[in-house]
Amino acid sequence: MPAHPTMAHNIKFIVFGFAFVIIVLLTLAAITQLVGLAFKQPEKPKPAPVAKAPAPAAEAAPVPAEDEMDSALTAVIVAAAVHAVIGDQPHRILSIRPSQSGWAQEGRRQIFSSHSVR
Amino acid sequence: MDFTELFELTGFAALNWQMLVMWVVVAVLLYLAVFKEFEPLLLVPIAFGALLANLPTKNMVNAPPGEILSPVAGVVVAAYGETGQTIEMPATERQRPSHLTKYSVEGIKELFAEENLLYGEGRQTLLYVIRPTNASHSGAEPVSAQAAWLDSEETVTINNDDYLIWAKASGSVSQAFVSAGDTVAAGQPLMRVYADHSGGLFHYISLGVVLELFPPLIFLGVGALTDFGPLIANPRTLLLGAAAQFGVFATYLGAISSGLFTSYEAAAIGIIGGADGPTSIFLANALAPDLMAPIAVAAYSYMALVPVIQPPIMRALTTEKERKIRMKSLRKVGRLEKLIFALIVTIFCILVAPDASPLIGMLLLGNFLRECGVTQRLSKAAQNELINIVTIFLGTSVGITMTGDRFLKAETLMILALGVVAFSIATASGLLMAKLMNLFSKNKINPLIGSAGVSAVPMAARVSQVEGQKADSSNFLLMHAMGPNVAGVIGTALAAGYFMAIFAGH
Repeated sequence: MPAHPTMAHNIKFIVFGFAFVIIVLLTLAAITQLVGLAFKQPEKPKPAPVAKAPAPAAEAAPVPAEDEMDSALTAVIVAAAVHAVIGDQPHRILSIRPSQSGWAQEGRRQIFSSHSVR
Repeated sequence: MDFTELFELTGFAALNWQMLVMWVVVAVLLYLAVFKEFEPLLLVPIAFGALLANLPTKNMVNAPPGEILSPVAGVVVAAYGETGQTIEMPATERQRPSHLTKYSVEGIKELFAEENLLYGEGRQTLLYVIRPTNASHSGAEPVSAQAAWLDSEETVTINNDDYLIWAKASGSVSQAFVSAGDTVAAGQPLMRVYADHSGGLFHYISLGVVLELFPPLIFLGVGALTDFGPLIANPRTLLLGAAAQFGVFATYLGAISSGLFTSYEAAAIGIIGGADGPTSIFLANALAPDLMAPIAVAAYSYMALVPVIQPPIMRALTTEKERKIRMKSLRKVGRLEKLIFALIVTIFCILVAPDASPLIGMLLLGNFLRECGVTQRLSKAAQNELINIVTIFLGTSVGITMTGDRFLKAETLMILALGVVAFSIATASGLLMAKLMNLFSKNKINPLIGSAGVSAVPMAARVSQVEGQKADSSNFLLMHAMGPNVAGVIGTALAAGYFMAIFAGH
């Protein structure tokens, strides 16, 4: 490449260079996509909302041992959280449902708002 | 000793107007860095280095004496050094041209007249003029001038293709190997200079830039700090990073069209559009070392100004509806997949662009250290101690090249202007590519993440996030924008590799 190339030479140089970057990264994207297919988990069916599960949830219909433990653990955690908020006031937990996306969103909002962007 | 002699021993005698102007430039840079927090980690060392460059320092930047080699095969047209002669370098480094391609007949005569004057005072630093055997590669119009032979009534014909060999260090000439009329080979010793000092602090520290060590080491730290997960989860964002590199090539065209720069200088300026400081320095050092200071200052200043430069372009090129597009959540990427990605990128990119190996290799080594999970100590060292130490040395080494006669030129202003153009075009290219992809894709991309294709990690991604939230406060684009952001780093390194391959050995 000369120090002072002609305009045609420059255009050719630019087109080749840009095409080079695009093709290389396009190929890299295709390879990454292919590798990703091997790692992608099949999408899990959405869990059904937990119907009014009185706490403790032991009275529910027979469930596999692991699910039973999860339900008991959830009940314990929720009971502890409620106690932490309202203290010793009398209360009864009637049902536990998965929250909407609001909590996750609130968490994200707090994280992002903690960054100061000029 | 009288008062005049005492005054001449101080640095005041060596001050000139360019230094004073550069002090103002340093003050502006320090103000931006300290009070406006514009990339302070880089701008503070650069600005302080620039201050040192514009003071009559001693034992800071001077090179050690030794052999002076011929850079080219050719015939010695003029030889001004003699055995026993004393060489005294000026208190502040002056930029001297190794070629006269940009000089007119009058310019050549002036240069030699100036050197003739210094010769009379025993302070000349021009040692040899060598006419290359092979025809010039410069492409510039041939110019010949009758210049004064130093300290003589005779004249010598100087062509603008001739190589000028300047003294690099103070000392005394212990041996002059060639004289006028001799034929020399490339690399042949011309003269040996002796002195009992061995070079200044920054001569050695700057070797990290000259030998292209610091930019790859910075990339090692960048790799250790970067999570490629969002890019792996959504590989098509690599295209956004690729599209943003159009800014690099468009700026090359602007620089070469200005007529002020050669093609390799234009390439070094164009890379500013990649918004990647280490890559800009890496390429500038390889292709246009004399322009490294303004290129580095432009690259880092504009990276700091990303939140100012990008938003108006982003709003102008997108509709409210497009800015509200919500993107599908990214899947979780496991450790093994990240490790495989690092290896694939290393192998593939080095195979296609071997000239970018130091950058790509170190970037992905740093990332592998981060992701493999068994080298936490090394990963932390790369993320903290190593990158911090190298940043101090890199910044000051770049700053110390900002001498007044090198920086206060029309070319510098042009480079600063081209830098803004480069950033703007790169931003627009990424946005437009995202819009183009939306025409063919079922899963829509929020075009705001396209602007993050300029590297500037993670600033550009944060700007996408902020602009996205202005349109829809519950839309979170940060992780999506990190994909094109890190793709931009790889894209800029590839563009640099392309330039280096084309201009190798210019």
